[in-house]
Amino acid sequence: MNRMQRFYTMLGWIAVLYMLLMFIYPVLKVVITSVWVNGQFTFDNYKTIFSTAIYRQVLVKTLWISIVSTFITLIIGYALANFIAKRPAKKQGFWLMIVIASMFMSLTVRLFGWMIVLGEKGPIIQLFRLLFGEKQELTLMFSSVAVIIGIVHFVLPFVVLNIYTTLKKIEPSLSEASIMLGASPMRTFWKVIFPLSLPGVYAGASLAFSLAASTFLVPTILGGPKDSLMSNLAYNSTITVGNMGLGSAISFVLLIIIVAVLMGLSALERRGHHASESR
Amino acid sequence: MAGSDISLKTSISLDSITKIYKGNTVIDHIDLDLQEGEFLSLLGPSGSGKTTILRMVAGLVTPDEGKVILRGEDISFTPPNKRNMGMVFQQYALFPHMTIQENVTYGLKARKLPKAEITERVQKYLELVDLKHLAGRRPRELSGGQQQRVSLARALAVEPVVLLFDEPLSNLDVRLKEQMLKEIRHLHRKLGFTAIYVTHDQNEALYLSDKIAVLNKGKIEQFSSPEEILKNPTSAFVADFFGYTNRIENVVLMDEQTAQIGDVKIPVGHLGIDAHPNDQGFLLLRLNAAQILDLQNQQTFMDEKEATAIRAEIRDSRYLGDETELRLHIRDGIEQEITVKLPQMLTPLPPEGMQIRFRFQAEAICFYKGDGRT
Repeated sequence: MNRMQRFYTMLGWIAVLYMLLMFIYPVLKVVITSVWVNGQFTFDNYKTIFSTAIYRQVLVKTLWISIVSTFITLIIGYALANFIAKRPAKKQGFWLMIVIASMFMSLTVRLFGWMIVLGEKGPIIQLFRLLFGEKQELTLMFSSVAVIIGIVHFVLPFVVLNIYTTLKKIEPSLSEASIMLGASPMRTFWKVIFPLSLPGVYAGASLAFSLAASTFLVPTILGGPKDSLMSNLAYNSTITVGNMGLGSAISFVLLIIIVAVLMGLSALERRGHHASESR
Repeated sequence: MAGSDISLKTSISLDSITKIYKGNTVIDHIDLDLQEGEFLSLLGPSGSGKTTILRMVAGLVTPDEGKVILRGEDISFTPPNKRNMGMVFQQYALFPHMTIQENVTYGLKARKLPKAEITERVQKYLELVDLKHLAGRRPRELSGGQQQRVSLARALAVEPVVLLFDEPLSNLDVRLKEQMLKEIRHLHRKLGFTAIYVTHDQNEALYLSDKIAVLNKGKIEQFSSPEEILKNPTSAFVADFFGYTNRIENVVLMDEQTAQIGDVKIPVGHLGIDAHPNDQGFLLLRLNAAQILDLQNQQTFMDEKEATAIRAEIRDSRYLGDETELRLHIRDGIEQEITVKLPQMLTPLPPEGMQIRFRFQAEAICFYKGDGRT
């Protein structure tokens, strides 16, 4: 091993150490706090979560809001990534900048922006009233819809970047080959482009889901009292109620769910990958 | 019914097609006719427009002017997937997520052919390129040559009206290239498809083609059979492409068979367009333009040909495979270096500084008017 390689190996170990301290240790601490109550080992906190109706409801709500937002983001994100990948090469950077630009601002500020857009005096509700009359009721703010809109807005850039990168890696001659073989542009997309872009879709989906499931800010600002998600629950238990054990248990359950979904997604991807690698 | 007679034989015609990119005319009013079953090569350096022409035939690029006519029908605006053409790409362009079999099936499924026919055709064409045993593999498990054969089978399987090749061999090494050339020629003879083949390699073009169109800056320099092009390159550009690598400047054409420089008379085999006696111009010579008279003590020759023999000194000599290449410095009235190739392996290699005599071979020498630097 030459000096350069040793240097890089050392840098690698520093990174590993950082991970151990900053990620593994806190997680272990959370796990221990959740099962070590008043000097005793117990699963009571977990039993509380799974036996109390309100916790179960929040769990289910977190799951479906995350899944729905992930799907919506994937559809919008794919369309956007595909649009950008088809722009002239010189202009693609500009379009990507526009997508990423929103990330330059604090999420809190952006969500306040959404409060205005979705609010009573906002353009959407004004337009709705104009079209359907004053009597029609429509509220967007402080609802699950607002939360989903917020999450989609928040995770979209990550998804676009992931899908865009895989789309760019697909040889342009492949779609030409497909077209020359008599396939319509539609067929070319579904048989060639889409299957080859799946790695990016899976990566985007993984990121989108984990960001969505663990979001704390979006439901806090855009959601109503009924739209609390797991993170909010963990926050309340720990900070407002002061029950560290329960808060930790909720956090850990959330972590397990996210890890399980990610593993499921990567298994799906591997299966697709295998199908394209071996016979 | 003369019209329909012609359309039966003519496969594809380009009628004054033109392409302009950002104010640059990359294809300048090109006309081409290709008969049914003919193999045409578009030959030219990069930037000559050969690929653009191919892509206009394919429909991947729309001409700004002119028409593409297929069997008498104007297809200039027909989308590429409706043209029933086949294309073999430089990068193979096999679908990486499909097996070899699925790749070949792809175009047939897009055409919604009956299942039985699909199976039959896939078998037939995989067998034709000798890859039936690899039908279940993925493209990345195959070598470059095998991948290109799959690509060929995939394009052939749809039984296209014209088969288009976009520099298909430029990613292969020399031996594979030769194999593939043989294979393409064999398939063309066997199946009789009409083909347009883009290449920058004159040997590929000579090996495969019935007709060669030499392109330069978006225009056709010469369009004729390989034999005609070799024998009679109409411009210096074409000659340069086909092995006329020596150049002798500042010569005057005496009559239709002789050029003169200083006191030296050089026999001329071919004249470029518009060349007339008393024109000032230059000569292009193939590597076989000199017959060496007195190498290896062939003294007898020397005496016979004294009159036309030219003295030179060997500057460099080396083997090229089983041929010998010599760099000669002529100092017999003119000072000029030329490179010649002898079709045999000279042993021993003639030493540097050796004095020899040679005679010019008219059939390997062309005269062109002007200074050739337009």
